[in-house]
Amino acid sequence: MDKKQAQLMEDDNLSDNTESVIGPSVKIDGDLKSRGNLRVDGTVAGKIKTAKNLLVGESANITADIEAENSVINGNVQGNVNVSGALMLGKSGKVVGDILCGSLQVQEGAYFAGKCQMQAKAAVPVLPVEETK
Amino acid sequence: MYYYILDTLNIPQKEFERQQTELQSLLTEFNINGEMARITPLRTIQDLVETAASRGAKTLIACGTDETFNLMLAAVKDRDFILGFAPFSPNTQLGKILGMTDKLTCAKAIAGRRIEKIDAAKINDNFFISYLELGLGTLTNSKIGFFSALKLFAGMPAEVKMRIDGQYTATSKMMGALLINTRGTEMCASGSIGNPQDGYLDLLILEKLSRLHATKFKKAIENGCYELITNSSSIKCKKIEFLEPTNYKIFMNGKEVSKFPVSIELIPGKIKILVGKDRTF
Repeated sequence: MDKKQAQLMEDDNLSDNTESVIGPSVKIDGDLKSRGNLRVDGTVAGKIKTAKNLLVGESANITADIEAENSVINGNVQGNVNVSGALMLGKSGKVVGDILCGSLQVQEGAYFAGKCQMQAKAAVPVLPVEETK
Repeated sequence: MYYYILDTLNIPQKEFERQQTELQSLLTEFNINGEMARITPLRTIQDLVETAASRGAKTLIACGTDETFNLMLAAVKDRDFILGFAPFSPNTQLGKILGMTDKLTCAKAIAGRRIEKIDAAKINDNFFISYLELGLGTLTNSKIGFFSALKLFAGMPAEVKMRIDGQYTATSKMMGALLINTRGTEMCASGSIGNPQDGYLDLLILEKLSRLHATKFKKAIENGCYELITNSSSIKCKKIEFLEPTNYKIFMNGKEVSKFPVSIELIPGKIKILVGKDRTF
């Protein structure tokens, strides 16, 4: 994880207070719902819904629609992603599906195939933008 | 009225007499009265709970070990008692959880009469407020030597299948697990895991570790703080059904309590309990 991702996670409290962690050996089949922050490093088939933040780890393999407040995706996701706040596709992230989000950041190396739509929302958090030379 | 249930069966006689005298003198000092009754082979804990109910006792104090409290909890069933615990042996899990590690803190807690409502987890027909152990989870609160830690993960992980909250099925290759309502370990007491008032059980899953990680996380394994260990899982749930492998054993305080398949459910705020100042929640 690079500095920028770490910063985003810190800003969005994704690294702290993670309530549920799905480890690499865990395979889930069905609707995974969480009240708090969620981290997925394993395999999920079905649906993921969390009222807070979602972190998809590099080893994660998700075949599911995702709903979250903020999210960082570093693993494989096949399904639609609906994030009301900030979404970040990390350099190892792969999304095949449509994205609906408040704000989007895509790192070099990330793969995305699908439609992307930004939500018109007044209080969308603004992500730090890297200066370009 | 307070009704004290004294467990003579799990504690050596000489030690028991000493503990009882110490407790009695402290209760007298704090002006707490009540009736004391001993568990004997002829008067079981169920009989004593019945007697307490018939005499109009409102508060039951289990004096003994964690097992004494768990047996009392099972005997109370749906009766409306306020429960308490007086540890008659050192290092009881419940003592740490409830902030009653010795007779003095226990007497103070009874005198202070601070009552908290906590969740009760139900396995088969028994209730518990602490945690269940699976596989290497039985090593919680025991000392693991350096060389034992190296050998710890030599075995093959069990492929466990479970249904959580009736919503999804989870399969995991695990070396051990803890299903926590609350826990008494100070090292990992912070955070949202093991809060007996949040309405959730916490399932912590320990995966197979390398020798390096086994020694690195030895303390976390001893303390049951699996959330600090690489690649471990932590899942919040209200109901869990362990489905496979059949006959896989579940332990509490190192004693077998059930086998797979089994269903475990949380009943929020079921227990009213006396707590001390140094409780972990």
